[in-house]
Amino acid sequence: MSDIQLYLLEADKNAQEARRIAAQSASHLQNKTLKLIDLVTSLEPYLNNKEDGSLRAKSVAYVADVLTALPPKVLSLQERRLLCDFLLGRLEGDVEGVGATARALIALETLGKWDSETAQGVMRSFIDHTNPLRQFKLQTERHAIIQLVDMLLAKYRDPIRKLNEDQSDFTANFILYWEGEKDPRNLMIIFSLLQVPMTEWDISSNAQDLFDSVFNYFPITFKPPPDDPYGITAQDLKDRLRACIAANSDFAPYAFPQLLDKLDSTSMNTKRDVLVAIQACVTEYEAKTINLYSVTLWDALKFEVLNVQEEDLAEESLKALSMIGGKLAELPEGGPLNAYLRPIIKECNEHLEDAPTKQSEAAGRILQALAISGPAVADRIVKGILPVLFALYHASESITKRRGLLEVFTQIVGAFVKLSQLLPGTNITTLQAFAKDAEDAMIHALAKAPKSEVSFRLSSLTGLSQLVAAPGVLTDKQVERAVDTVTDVVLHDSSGGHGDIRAQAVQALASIAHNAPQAVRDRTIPAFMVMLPDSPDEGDVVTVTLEAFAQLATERQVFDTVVLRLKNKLRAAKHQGAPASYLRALLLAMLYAFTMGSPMQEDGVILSSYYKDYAQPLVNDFVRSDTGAAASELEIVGRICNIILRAQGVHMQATVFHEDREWMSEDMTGDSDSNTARGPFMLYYYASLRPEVVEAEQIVNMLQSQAKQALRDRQTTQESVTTLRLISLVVNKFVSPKAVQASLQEANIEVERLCNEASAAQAIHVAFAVVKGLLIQGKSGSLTTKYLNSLFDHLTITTGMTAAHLFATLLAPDDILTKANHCQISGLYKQKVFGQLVPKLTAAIRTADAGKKAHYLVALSGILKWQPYSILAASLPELIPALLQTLDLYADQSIKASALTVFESIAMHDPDALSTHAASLIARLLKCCIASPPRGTTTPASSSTTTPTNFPSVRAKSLQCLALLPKQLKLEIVVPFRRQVVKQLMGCLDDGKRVVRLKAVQCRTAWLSLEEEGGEED
Amino acid sequence: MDLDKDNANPTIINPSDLPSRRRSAPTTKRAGIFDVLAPAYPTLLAAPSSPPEAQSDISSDSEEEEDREEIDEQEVYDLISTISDPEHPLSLGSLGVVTLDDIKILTPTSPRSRISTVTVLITPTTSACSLTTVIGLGVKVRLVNALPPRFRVDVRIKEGTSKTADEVNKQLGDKERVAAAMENKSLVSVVNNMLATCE
Amino acid sequence: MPAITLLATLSPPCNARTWSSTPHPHLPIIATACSDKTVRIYSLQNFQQQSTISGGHKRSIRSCAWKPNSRGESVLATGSFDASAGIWRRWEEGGGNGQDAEIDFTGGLSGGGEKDEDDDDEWRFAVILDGHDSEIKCVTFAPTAPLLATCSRDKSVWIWEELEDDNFETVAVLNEHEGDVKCVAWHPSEQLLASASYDDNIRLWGEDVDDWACCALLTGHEGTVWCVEFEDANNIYALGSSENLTSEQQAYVQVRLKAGPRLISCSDDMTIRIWRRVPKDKPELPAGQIKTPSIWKNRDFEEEWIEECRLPQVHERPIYTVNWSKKTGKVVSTGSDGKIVVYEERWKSSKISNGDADGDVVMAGGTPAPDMEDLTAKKVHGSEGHMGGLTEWVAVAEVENAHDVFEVNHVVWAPRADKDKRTEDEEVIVSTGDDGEVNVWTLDT
Repeated sequence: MSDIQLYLLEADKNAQEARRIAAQSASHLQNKTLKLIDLVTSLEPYLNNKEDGSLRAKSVAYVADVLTALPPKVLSLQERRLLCDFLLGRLEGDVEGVGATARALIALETLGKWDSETAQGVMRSFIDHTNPLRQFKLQTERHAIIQLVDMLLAKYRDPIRKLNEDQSDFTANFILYWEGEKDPRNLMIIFSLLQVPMTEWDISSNAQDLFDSVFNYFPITFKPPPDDPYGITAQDLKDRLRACIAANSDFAPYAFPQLLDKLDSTSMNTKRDVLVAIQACVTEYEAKTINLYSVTLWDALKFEVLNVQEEDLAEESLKALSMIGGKLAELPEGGPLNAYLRPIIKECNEHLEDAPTKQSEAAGRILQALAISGPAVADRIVKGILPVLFALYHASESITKRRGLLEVFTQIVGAFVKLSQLLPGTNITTLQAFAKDAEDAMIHALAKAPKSEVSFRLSSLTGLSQLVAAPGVLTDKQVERAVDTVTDVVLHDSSGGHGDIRAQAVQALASIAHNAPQAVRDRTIPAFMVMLPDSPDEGDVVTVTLEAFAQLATERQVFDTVVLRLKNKLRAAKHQGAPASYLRALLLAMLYAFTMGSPMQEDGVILSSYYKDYAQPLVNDFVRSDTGAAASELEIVGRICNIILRAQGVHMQATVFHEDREWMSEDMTGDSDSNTARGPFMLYYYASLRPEVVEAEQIVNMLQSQAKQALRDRQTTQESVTTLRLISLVVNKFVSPKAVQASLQEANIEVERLCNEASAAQAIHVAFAVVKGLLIQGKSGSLTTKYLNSLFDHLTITTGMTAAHLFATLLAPDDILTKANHCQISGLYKQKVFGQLVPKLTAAIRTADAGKKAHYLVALSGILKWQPYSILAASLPELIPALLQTLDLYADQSIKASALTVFESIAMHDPDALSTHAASLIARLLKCCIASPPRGTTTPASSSTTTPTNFPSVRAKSLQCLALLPKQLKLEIVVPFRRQVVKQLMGCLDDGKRVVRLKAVQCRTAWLSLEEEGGEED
Repeated sequence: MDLDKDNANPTIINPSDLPSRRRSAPTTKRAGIFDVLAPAYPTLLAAPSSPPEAQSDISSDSEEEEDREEIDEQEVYDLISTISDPEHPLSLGSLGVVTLDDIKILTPTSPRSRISTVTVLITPTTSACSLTTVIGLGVKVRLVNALPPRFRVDVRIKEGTSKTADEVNKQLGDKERVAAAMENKSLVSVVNNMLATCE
Repeated sequence: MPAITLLATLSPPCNARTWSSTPHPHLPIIATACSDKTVRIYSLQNFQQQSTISGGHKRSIRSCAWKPNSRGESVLATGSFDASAGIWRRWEEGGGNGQDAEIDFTGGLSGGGEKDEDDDDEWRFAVILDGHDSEIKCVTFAPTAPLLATCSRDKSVWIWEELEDDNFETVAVLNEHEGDVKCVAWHPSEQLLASASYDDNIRLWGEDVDDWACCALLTGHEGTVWCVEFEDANNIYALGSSENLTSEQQAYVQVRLKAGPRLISCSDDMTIRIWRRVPKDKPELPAGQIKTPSIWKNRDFEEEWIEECRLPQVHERPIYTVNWSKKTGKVVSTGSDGKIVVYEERWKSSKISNGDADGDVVMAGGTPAPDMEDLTAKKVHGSEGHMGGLTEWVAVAEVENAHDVFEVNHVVWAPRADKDKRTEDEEVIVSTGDDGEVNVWTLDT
């Protein structure tokens, strides 16, 4: 059998095989064992088979496949010509297998470039004989043709364009050809190939048809099939379509009217597409074209801004308006731009008349958007708007109106600020003309207006900082006036009461400091200094001033000045023997500056010089010289050192540490009182050091001395907290994992020992401190496991409650044990504790007697308190019963609170887990949300405590929890409780605490809104 | 429900001019910005001597417990100012329909009585506000649901602000009518929409 | 002075507002209309819930009424916010034995066929009365004829006649009120109906030439009239034996007898007023006898009622219910302020001063009853400015916060039935509140 026969057999069954056969014939042609002419003649009977169209189609497919498989240079130019003519010839009489024909032609073209005539011929015969394309039902067929045309337009631009010029009817038919195509894959190509005629041909005569042929598809609503192999999204189509719409200025007469017509659509998505399309047109079309439609566009677009339906639509419209402005500004002559702006300015001015209204605010947005589009526009807007604006301002007595006007002004200034960032050196002379007027108005508002006029003064505040931010608009003198006014508000504005705008004023001052640092240095800072005495008598006002001052440090430009002044003030104050509270406040101010402020940096690291200039002196004044500084002061100094020192490199740290170790060393070893006294400083100081800075033997000493102290019973809370945290720190950071147990023994704080000699409660505290350090480090796993178990066993003893409570500290967040402090932080320590202890606890809870059970419950909630929900989620079935019981522990509020937090997250994430417990949960929550629960419900655990009352925080929490249930649980589960809950909650509405009442209201509303069974019509 | 806007473009009060507890609270009471810098470390670690619960992180409010924060006009205002107007997407507060000055709380008349009275005067956005009754109903329902039952809630139209004032007042004063209204699905849904914006 | 003390709270209470409670005409039970669309029947012997009626109404049940003298089977009418009234039937305990004939008979008529066992203690939904456009506020059966009156927010009063069991026919739709009709009440002995309305007025309705019409308009209240009720014909004797009365006093008694039972009303305006019919010159035809038919508007038909007096004002908020004891003539009232107050009418203590009078004088208030001149005079405009009436109303007992801090919607006298009852005809006060509770109080003298 001949190849063609084989091919025809396989064609339908096995395309793969068919192609192989074709390839085979191709190779025959190549090695000359088969002549092209024979191959063609072998087709004759099938190609001309009158009855069977599919047979004819298949044989063409065969040709296509052969040609596709054929390498270049096999066929001669004549042969290719011949084949080409032959294929096109067929089209005139018979369009069966037209797809294959297209494929064949594409293949031919790749075998050898065509001359113009061929290209034109191909194009013509398709447009003439297979028009319209939609007559072919098979997407693949149409796809092949489209690819062919696409290829033609890509490679033979000129010849095809000539068709348009020479043959009157061509373009019309060409446009008609695509009509009615629906397939996204095909459309993707069509939209792109159409851009060639759209952009390169003279289509003046066919512009409308061409435009309509694509606009028919607008707006595209296309949902790709769930498993679309081609991955064409609606967005892809939209983008290409938009490109078509915007392709040619000649479309404008059709595009704008139809787009604006669609803008009235009720579908927000359509509106979105329209707005983006308009933006595209504005950018693509020529300025002179846009000029023709600018006012029409304004008339339509403004509504989206004047009465906003969807914020993003307003944004897009503003963008479009702004683009139009920018476009028209390109034109050399100013006429068009004026024509566009005239109605806008007119209307905005009208809206200003009755400011403040939605419209006047909108006007402000519009003007700002436009002004940003370019200096020319901004200039005209200033000229057009501001005279009216200020006329109105001075004509009106109403403060609200004046506020409205100032806000609009500020928006315009805002535009200038942005402009001068985009293109520095923007001409601002026009704005300058009004700067004085504006500044006077705002300064007057801030200084003279009644304090109750909050919004008025606030907008003046923002106005001023904007004015300062617009470079060159204000003269230095004017800037200083502004700075003085704002400073004055910060320093002297009647504190408290309705309308205290200090906070905002401080913000404004900081941002002014960014744009006019010198003025702030020269005016504000001295003014502050005047207000800060060396030794004040009454405290409060000063701290307020101090806070404001410290906040200035957030601006890098003035940071150094601020901290320097603070340092000097502190020295003076200490010298004058100012009250401790004042010293503390000054220290805090410094700490604030360094933590929240923006100190100078060197490749990302805070300058080391700060340590020498600021930390060192503080250490000398407060820590070294035994001035008996209060613990809190020492802590602050410690924190300041920490924040500066910890980021520094080993070398820098080492030098500092070696200087300090002499006078420190005796502290670390001998247990003089100064030792304990300096604890708070040490804690933060050591926290900042890199492990390699401190030598091993120092560490052991330190551990020992700290342990000694920790085990002493005569310690204040504050002291023991510090020592315990130091122990955790040392264990975690400095002790080498290998040497842990040894060092612990040396310091005789080996955990198991501590636990067994359960005598002193201090021991157990130390034990937890040690375990915490190890646990978080995560280096010595087995040891930790062992220790955790002995802690757990400790719960069984009668005094186990102490231990039970300490479990909460294991995972409690700790600002000492952090990566920033070079500690070892294992990512998994929370999981470890959960995995090791929670199963044991839940098991124990099921069996234990009331007394012990309380221990386990407390321990459990202590652990859960800090667990990320994801870890809990796995074992809800075991946890929920236990947690429900913890809600009965009236004794302990914090325990209850954490249990409630867990329930809250369960309700959020896995409500269904609660379904079976709904009744008991709701009952308990209702108990937790009243101040004093009914008597007799207290468990042994709480019998010790005197007042079984729920703290406000617990009440609020449980209400919050309860409020979630109607939203989260299934209706049929909650509805039965509705009336009961709603009734019981009445009591909480009268709670003593406002916060609780608020929660109660929210909770009750949630339950009230539950749909009652048996709803009825009407 | 007929929502023809009686007043398409009402003046809106700037949020920062609305009365609020936050602003009327004396600055001295608010926590200083420094306080967060040196936070108290979870004191569970504290000296073994003292029982943990006595100093758990929320122990502070066990003292607060004593001083009861009475329900005052501001609180009532906060309850109703966030209700949204049925015809503008704006809150009754920002439209000036309810104002702090027009809320009065009358404490019990006799030592034996425990009944207090809240009187709210509402100011419709226009003298011909067709929805005055609905607004009034919304305010009434909100307060009846949110205030403890010892409060009697009287919602009235401010004198001379609405032609239909007397009529509306009488309706809102009639508990039977209000109760019946709250069993009317369509009315309930209107009211719920208004209250949806409430905290 | 007497004290009102809590005897019991009926249990279980309702989880939602309860509107009103109506004692059964002869059984020791009481029916409470609840906003949860049910009626709860409680026993006044053990104060426990006995049965519930539910499923018939789509909204609050506002009021219910027992059909008088229906032996063997209890018949209850319910009026609901869903604009319909329902009629419910239930065999009385032991009603079954010895009265089969009667039961079969009624059973047959009510179309129920022969009743099966569980029917015994079931409430059966007999018939629904549709017609009102909006919420029904009150339903009540007439004592003198098979008539049922209903009133609604649609400003109308409907009178239904029960031709035979469960076959009700509308005999009148009375539309003259200009606002919701809040309450309707029948005259104890005449076919005279009183209605109270949101339009601040009270109207009296009678049958004029077999056509129901308004025969009197009682104006004066300055707020919604929430409740009206006629006194019992014998209340006059509550003033004490007719011996050793002064001549004026005797004359007053005569006028009262001639005028017949008075009407009492309470209102949003915080007043309780008593209204008295002004007797006609020519002797009234005895009740029941047919008037001579006339095509002209029958002048005799028009009645004139005057405000006789106001009770001392104790309430500080709207008064929702006032109820007049058939046995003692005492009046009890309650309302939004959560108080329950009991008043007593007595001869003005001019010379005759009975023991506790001094104590009461303080409580005495309101306006005095008119003196002789007024009684003989044709017209009396209210009773302002008339000094020295013959009787005075005295608030004799008061309780605050009767339902915790909640409003009290309804209060009614009922015969005491629990084991501790002190005298044969001792009465209790039953109050119904927004807290969903029904409280039973004794009046201790």
